[in-house]
Amino acid sequence: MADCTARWIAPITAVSLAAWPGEAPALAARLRARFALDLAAPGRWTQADGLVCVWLAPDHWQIERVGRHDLLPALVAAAAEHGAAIDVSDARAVLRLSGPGSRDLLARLLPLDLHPRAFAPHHAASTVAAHIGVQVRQIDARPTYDLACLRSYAESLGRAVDHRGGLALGWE
Amino acid sequence: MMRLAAGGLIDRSRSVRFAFDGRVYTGHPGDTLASALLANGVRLLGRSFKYHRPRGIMTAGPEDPCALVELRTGARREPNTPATAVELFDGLEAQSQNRFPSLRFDLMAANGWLAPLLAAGFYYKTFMWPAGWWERVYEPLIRRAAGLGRASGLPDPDTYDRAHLFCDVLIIGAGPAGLAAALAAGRSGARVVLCEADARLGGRLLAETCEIDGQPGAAWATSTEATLRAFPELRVLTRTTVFGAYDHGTYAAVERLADHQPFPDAHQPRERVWRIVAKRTVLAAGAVERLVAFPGNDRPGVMLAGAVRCYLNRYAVAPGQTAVVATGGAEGWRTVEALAARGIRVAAVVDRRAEVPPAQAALAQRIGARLFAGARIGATRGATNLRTVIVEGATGGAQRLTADLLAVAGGWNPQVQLACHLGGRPVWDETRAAFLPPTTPPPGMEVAGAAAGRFGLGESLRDGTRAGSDAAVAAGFATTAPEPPSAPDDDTPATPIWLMPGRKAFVDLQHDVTMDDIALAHREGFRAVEHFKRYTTHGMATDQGKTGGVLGMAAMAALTGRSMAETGTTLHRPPSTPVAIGALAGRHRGKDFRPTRLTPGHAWAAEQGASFVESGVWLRAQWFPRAGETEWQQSVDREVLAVRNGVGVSDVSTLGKIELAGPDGGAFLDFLYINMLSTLPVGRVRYGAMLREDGFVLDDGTVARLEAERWVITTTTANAARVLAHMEFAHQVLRPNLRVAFVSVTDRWAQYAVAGKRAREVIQAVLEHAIPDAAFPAMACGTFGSARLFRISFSGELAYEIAVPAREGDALVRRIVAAGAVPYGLEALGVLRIEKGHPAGGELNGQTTARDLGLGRLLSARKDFIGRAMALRPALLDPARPTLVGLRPADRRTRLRAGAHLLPRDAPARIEHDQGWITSAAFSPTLGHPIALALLTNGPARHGERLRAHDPVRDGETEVDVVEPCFVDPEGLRLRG
Amino acid sequence: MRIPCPHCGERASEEFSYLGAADPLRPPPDATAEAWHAYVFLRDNPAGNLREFWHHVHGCRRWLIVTRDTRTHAIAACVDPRA
Repeated sequence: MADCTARWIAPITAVSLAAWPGEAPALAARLRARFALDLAAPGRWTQADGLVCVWLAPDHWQIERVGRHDLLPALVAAAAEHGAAIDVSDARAVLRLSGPGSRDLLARLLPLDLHPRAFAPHHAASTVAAHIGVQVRQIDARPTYDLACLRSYAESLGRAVDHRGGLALGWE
Repeated sequence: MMRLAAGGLIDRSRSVRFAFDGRVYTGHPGDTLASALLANGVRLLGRSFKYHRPRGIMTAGPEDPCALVELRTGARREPNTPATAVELFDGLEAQSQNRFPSLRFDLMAANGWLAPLLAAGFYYKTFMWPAGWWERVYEPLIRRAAGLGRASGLPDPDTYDRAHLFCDVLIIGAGPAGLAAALAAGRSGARVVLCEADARLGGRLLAETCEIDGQPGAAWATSTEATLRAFPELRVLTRTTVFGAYDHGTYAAVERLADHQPFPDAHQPRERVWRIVAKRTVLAAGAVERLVAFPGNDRPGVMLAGAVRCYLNRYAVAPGQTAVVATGGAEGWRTVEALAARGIRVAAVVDRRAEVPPAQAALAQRIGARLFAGARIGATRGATNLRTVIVEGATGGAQRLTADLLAVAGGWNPQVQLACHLGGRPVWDETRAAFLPPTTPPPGMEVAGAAAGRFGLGESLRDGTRAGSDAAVAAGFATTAPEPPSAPDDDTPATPIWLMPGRKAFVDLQHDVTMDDIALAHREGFRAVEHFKRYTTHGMATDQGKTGGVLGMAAMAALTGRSMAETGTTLHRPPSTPVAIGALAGRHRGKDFRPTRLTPGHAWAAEQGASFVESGVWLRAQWFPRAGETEWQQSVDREVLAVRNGVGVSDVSTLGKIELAGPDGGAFLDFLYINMLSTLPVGRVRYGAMLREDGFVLDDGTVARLEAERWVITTTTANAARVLAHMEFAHQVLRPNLRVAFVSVTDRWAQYAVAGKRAREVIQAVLEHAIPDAAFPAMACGTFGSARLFRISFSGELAYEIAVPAREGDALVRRIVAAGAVPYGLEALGVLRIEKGHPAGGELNGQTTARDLGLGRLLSARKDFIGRAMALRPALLDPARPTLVGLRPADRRTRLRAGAHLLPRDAPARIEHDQGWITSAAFSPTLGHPIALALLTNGPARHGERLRAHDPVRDGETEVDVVEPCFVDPEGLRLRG
Repeated sequence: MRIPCPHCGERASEEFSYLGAADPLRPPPDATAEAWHAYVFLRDNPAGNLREFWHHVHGCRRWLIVTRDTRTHAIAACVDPRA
């Protein structure tokens, strides 16, 4: 029985969303009105009915949905004069790691404190793992994490994860 | 057999077989290699570094300077391993080192007779004449003779791991102070990590007979371990040595996962390096015993007094049958008691003190040991094993004593290294006769127990309890300190450093440094502690002077007439113990040394048999060999001609792509680029160059305006990350009020260049859409379904770049090839752009200006942009600066090479005649001869001149003609095709 | 080193890229050559606190100003100049 399972999640539609300085509240209101989605606070991700919002930086988020969807026009319209939207679908490869051993496995890669006291479901962070820029999100308390990197690094990230240091890892 | 009948923390119910120098012995689980060898009566372990003197076992810990063996065989062979730190396992194989032909009869022992010539620093005064002998004679000889153990020379077959660990309290060392600290911190609920280098917790408790809370020390350690492991947030890491303290509460430790087994299990790493971040740290690393300096103090059979107790109590081994104990204070008498309690004859006690306390004198009498007060050791005798100890009394007489064990007590050195790694210097304490931790240890660290000079057991436990509790509170966990475990205190004074006069009194046993060498360094002026360390190599071996370093300092202090405090110590730096390089590398070896980036078309290119090259972190196809092509030149020539005469396709996904959106995009681009971009109409592309603020070219690329408020810029592959960071600085720091957002979309799009006179047909076939010239002229851009199309040309031919979402990239390139395009790689791309004189890496080297590259006309005078002011510095406007030209070999045949320098034909090859250099070179199949681009002083004014290309490193000399830097279609008719 | 990013929390230094002193301000376009030369090239080298630019490349990608003691690496402050 594997301590941890790993599975690539694809395709993912993603849009980079920015608010102009001071316009974040207005942009948040638009998003809430159109999608019932809250703009995520720093270091967090939110979701509404499969539409995910993850915080990347001040005034900067990424809106995602698994599968192929045409998100950009709706988000350009929602942003309107309060910000801008840029399509970044396919730019990232996302690896879902789940199971009791997944925290230990990520401890090998990420210079982040993933202890439940420091990182919990709906937490998100960008960091670097083995010279690869990554974004990590905790999905649930199993624990399950999503680890995302630029698509061109996917094979290298897979090799880094596979060097499991003694853990039983099952690829799906 | 030297194994005692009872006692010890070994498992007598099981036997372990091991081999040393080919002979097989048995031991027990719980033994070290050293204790098992002693139990079998083996005391000679190796030959010393310089003089090849016989060496044995001096201590019971990893700090041992003598007991160095080669462990294991084959690719796992590890030299210079202290036998005292090796956990015995079944099937262990070890060899002695540095001896030929055998350990007993070592020819190099002749070095001992040459000793006067081999004193410290001898190599600064020898091997100089005749000069020619250095390479042919001296160096080969020195290489053969030098060194101690031999590395295997084979690739390391084991894997290593690295991991991160965060905690509130890190406790380094699980001796009495560390265990007490862990009890106090653990109960607060804080996240605690307890690191212990040994396989068992307990530290000195495992070596001494002492009582804590009414239990024997070792038993107390075991029950405490059970308590600790029950705390849910406390993690115990055994076989783990913390070897470095770094900034901001960061520590590094190495965990030995499999060194106590013949080899690791499948998938098991051999070692793991932990990077630990701790809010608070308790350093409870204890103390190690000091050497004592006297003539012949390196002979096998001479052992430190505390180590003798460890062999008796922990391993149930008698290190000898007839002992003499030499003590500088009360410390050695504990060993006298321990030996007597185990029935080992103590022939004599040599006490440095003139007045020996009555209780100790009575003990000597009771056990029948002669007592020499106020005495010292004059010499030891014995070929490969101690046989005789010569004692010199206070009144001058010499006594010869028969003994096979000489236990010496010279006091203890607190292990303060980690407290000094951030630059603090330890402080000499006269009362405790030791260097104590610096007054400013690393922020967040407290030192407790023997490491802080608190040598008494009761004191140590109280100190640890307080430190552990304080650390938890400081980390934010309210707690009260528990009642400290109780044990007796020790009021006896500390044993001072003991140096006795005479020849061959060693202070560094790994590098064979004696007291005489310290005196030599003093005579020759190397008196500062950092100087004499390096001059004599004292303290520079793998043990880093843990047992003997302070002796050298004391000797120099005496010679210079300064105090120990004034003399000081050398700086401590990580690692505090040797760490395998493989462990530091972790999995970053071979293919995994660094990550590789693959384009969406990679799998397709690999199927075509492309030859790949590393371009930064990317893998890019260099060329696509076809059946029958045996040389890369054939493939590249074919690909270039296919583009010039038909149509080719190349993967340009690696170039940086940054998309911008927002009303102020144009203004922002005007600030970044040298030319005007806000005036670019929608649906058009413009070439642009960016400068650094010092006026030199940072990068070049294209700017496409897809919508009124949406732009895409390209960068070179190598500079993509740098340009993005540059733009973020420009926006966030310099122009924060501009309403523009931008992100890298390099990985979002797969992008291919389709170039050649048939390019339009191919694009129309792939997009299933007509693209008439009038609707889509040169430098146009647009969107077609999910694809973006740009009519830009790096090759100078009619060309388009087509971008699709990355997941469609593989399918797209196959459709493009099916439509008739010939795949071409990085090499052909290079030849094509050199034929057109387009600057790339060789020219965009960070040292060229826009004017140098022929882009001066693009510099706008109408706006401020990054680099504008500094680009106008007079020296950068000097026409004599090397500027871009083209070159042809005069004989139309000789290959030109980038890096060759340009000189006038008749001038000697000296720097004052240097006029420039070749930046890029290639063979042009279009023209049928080699070509090159170069930067040449006053370049544009010198077309038609003949110069000399000088390349002394490779080919020598070639005559070249200076021409315009554009060899094919200079009017640019093809790309309008 | 660990840098306390005001947006992401305390992070390991490998997430960052270092630029240099943050106090020199970009001169206006028409400033003298000397002013530009000083901005681009001249830097103090204090044994003590220095305000310097760090870029949180593998994090929020914000340019930050860190006040660091060059002798001890003690970090007194880390701010986002745009905040």
